[in-house]
Amino acid sequence: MVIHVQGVGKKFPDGKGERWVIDDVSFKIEPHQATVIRGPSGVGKTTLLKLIAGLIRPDKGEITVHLKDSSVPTSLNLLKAGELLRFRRDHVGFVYQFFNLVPTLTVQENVLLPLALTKREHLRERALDRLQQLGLSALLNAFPAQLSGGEQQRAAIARAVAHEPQFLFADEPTGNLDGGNSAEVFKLLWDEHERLGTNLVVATHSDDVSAYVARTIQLT
Amino acid sequence: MIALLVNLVLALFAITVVHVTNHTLVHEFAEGQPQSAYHYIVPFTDNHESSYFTFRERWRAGDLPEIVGVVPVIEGNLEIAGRAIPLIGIDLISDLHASFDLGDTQPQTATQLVTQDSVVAFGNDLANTSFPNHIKVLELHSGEQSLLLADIATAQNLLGRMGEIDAAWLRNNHEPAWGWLEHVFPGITSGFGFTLPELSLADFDIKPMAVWQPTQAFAGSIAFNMGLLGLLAVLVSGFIVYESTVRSIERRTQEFNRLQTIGVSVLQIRSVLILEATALVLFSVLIAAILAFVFLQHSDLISKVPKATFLVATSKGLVLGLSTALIGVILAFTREVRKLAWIVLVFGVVLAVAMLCFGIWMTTTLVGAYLAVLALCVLHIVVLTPTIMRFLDALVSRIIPKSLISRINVRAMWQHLKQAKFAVVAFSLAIATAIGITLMVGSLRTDFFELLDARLPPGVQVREASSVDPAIIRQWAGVEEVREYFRGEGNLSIGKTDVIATSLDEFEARRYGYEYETDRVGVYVNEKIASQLQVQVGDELELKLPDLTPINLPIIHIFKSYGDVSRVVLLPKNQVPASLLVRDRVLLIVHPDSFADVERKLQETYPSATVLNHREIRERAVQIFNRTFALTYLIALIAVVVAVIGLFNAALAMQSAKSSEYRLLNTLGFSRLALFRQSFTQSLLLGVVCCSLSVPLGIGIAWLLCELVNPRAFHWTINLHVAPMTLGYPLLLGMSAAAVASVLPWFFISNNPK
Repeated sequence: MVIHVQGVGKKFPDGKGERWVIDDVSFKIEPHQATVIRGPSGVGKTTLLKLIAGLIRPDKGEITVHLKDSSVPTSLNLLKAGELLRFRRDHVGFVYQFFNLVPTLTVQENVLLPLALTKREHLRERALDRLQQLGLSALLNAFPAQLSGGEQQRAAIARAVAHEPQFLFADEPTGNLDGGNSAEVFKLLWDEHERLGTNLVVATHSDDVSAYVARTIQLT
Repeated sequence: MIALLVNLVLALFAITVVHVTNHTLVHEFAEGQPQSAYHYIVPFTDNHESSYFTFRERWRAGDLPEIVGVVPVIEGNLEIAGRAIPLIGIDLISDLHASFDLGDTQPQTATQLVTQDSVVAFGNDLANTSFPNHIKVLELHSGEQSLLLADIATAQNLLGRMGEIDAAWLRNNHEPAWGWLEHVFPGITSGFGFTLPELSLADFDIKPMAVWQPTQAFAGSIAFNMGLLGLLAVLVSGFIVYESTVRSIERRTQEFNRLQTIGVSVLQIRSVLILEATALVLFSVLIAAILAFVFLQHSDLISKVPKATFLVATSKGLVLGLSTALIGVILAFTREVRKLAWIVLVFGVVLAVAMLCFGIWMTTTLVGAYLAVLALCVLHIVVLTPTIMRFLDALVSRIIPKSLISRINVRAMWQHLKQAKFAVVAFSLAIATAIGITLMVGSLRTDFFELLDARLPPGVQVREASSVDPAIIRQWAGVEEVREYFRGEGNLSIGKTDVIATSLDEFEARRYGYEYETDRVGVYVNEKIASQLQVQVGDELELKLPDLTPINLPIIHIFKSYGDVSRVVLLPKNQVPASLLVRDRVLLIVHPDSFADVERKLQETYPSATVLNHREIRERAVQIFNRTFALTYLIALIAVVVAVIGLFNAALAMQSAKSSEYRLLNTLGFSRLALFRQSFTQSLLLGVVCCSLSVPLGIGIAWLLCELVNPRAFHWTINLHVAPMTLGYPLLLGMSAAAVASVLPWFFISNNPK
């Protein structure tokens, strides 16, 4: 088991009081497993994804991850802010629905940014090769605003996996794309998961992804 | 909507505060003296009451129809607590329609002054002074300058000069045609060079009051500068309101598009927006007025908020707010105007270049000077700023910092600089004007202090010195040199001039900044004559004395005479018949140990003469100048703060639009500190570029003010001194504003970047 979510809950301010967006959620994800979190809008898919990616902390329950370079599981609850930041930087790749690229950096620079932050410059050639494989070689020096939605998401995937993270999370990665592009993006995510051996967790309400994943977590 | 409201309130608040402060300070300068209601003065050289009665008789007979009020005056000094305090005695009942600025209880105070042999004391310095028993102080008024005011009989008695009158103040009914402009932009007309018409009456020398009160010329100069700054505050506020309105409308584009798809016309949308803008401006004016009133009441800027001025200021803000917001609404929807921009640009550039050339080389008028300043600002907006921006654009796309973080910062700064171009223009314009005016005033200060140092060597000056006998004074212990100055008058082709006759030797050359040449005979003229006659050193001056004797002598020196509104010719005493001159001043160079003794002896021996210590004259001049300096800085600061608010808004908008980017960077592993560094660096870079844009224009404005505006408005030249400190202060302020602007959005976003 590489991710263990036990009785996790998260609440947010709602009008006068607070509302539990997710409450008492528990599941396990095994190594190299591709998982999809499904459910209707507003059920807390994004919140759950952010919790296991270490972007926010749970209000109850515990999340533990088993990192490759560690013999013991790491509790995300116990990590200090700086440690959680390093966990995200070194071990997580994240693809959002929108705004995945820094608008003032070119496609190539966006992809190289995680390498600069994690000091993994030795992966540079591999990352650039991946851009070529994704059909973005002609757009290396283009800025995000010059790309189509599909091109932006492909570049976002290239950026998310550039530093070869242990976990790859995607939050509605095809929500903004048409059917053709949507299927292509899911295929790319799956390919990277297969090639790098990462744990892929996708939050979506699309059925297209079901063909690729072994495990579905249904939120209701 | 809230951001727009805040911008409107801040801009309107600034307009109100600047207007009220300006108006009050200008009013204090112009009317803070008992003679403020009077326009001319007639000195009686023999100091006899009979001269006054003769003058009054002729006036009553209708010789001076312009004059509607006459007041006889006596002046001198009273020794109080070891200091010589000026005393002015006036006949308070001779001109019942006049106001002597005696405060709210004026009629009652004036009656008591007449009936109780008392004085009214002005001056903060006199608050804790113990007056001798024979001087009864009726009231004490605050003020920078120490002064005692009494009824003429009381003053004659206190000065021991019964039956004497020094001068008469004359009041005319002249209401200047430019008065309305002064209400809208207080102080602005001081530099227009408007002068009162010359009055003449045989046997009497009628002069404008400013001649008698030379500091008024400086006050005029400073008032003018404050007027310019007030104008600037309005301009910048207009930019801010316009920018905010356009940005607010742009943010609602999606809403308007939806409305259009369901059949709402652009005219209908525009009408709704105009209604919204009007309501918002009215609401903002109300809030700004309340805030400004509370601020002015509790600040040290002014002692009391004048209600009428406050209403004018609020109305000014209302008109500006409404008109700029409406222009913003109209232009935001008028794409045709944007398409025409290049035509306007070319036309604007050609016109501005023509105006600049005309103002500098083709005319010597003040209007030309103003046109040149305006043209420079237009060129800054339409040529210099876009050119520099294009240059930077090319530079930024070529220069690629090694670090990806630096690339983000440089490119983000550049992107937002282009987006906030109106705020950038407004900010750089305001900073540039503040730089220009502070550089000019700083240069004037340097030149003026140099002049004081040369003109006032350690010594004592005796004015109204007709009865003084230099031969006797020379015998006194401690007196090292006695110099005599005789005053007369003459006529030049451009009008009357004061004539000062003295020994134009090495000593005098040093005082007037002339490199003395033994064998060179000629006259010194002040800059006013040189400017009006368009003459230079070496030209011959044609002067006619009152007895029509012509004097033709070469001009050997043109001297600066800041604060002197008269034309002045200095010539060797042997060139003028003694009968045409009156001994006006005697200057004594005294050994430092004997100052007090000599001063006391002079007061005792010549009670009707005014004895002035050069050190005290200098200190007073420095005090007045420093006070006006502080005011200039203060008003410049307010104007810059208005601009800073604009930049702050731009930087705030820039950072607020980055929430998605911050979320992404945070996901990638940027810490709060790293995000702050990003935000801070980008805002600081924005500030640096804006400030850098303002420096060339600031120096240009300073040059035009020194070389064109001041010589043409006040007939004095100023050597431009570019002091790094003067440049540094507005720049520092601008960059600080930009830096501060980065903190707030960072705080909100980095606390919840997800």
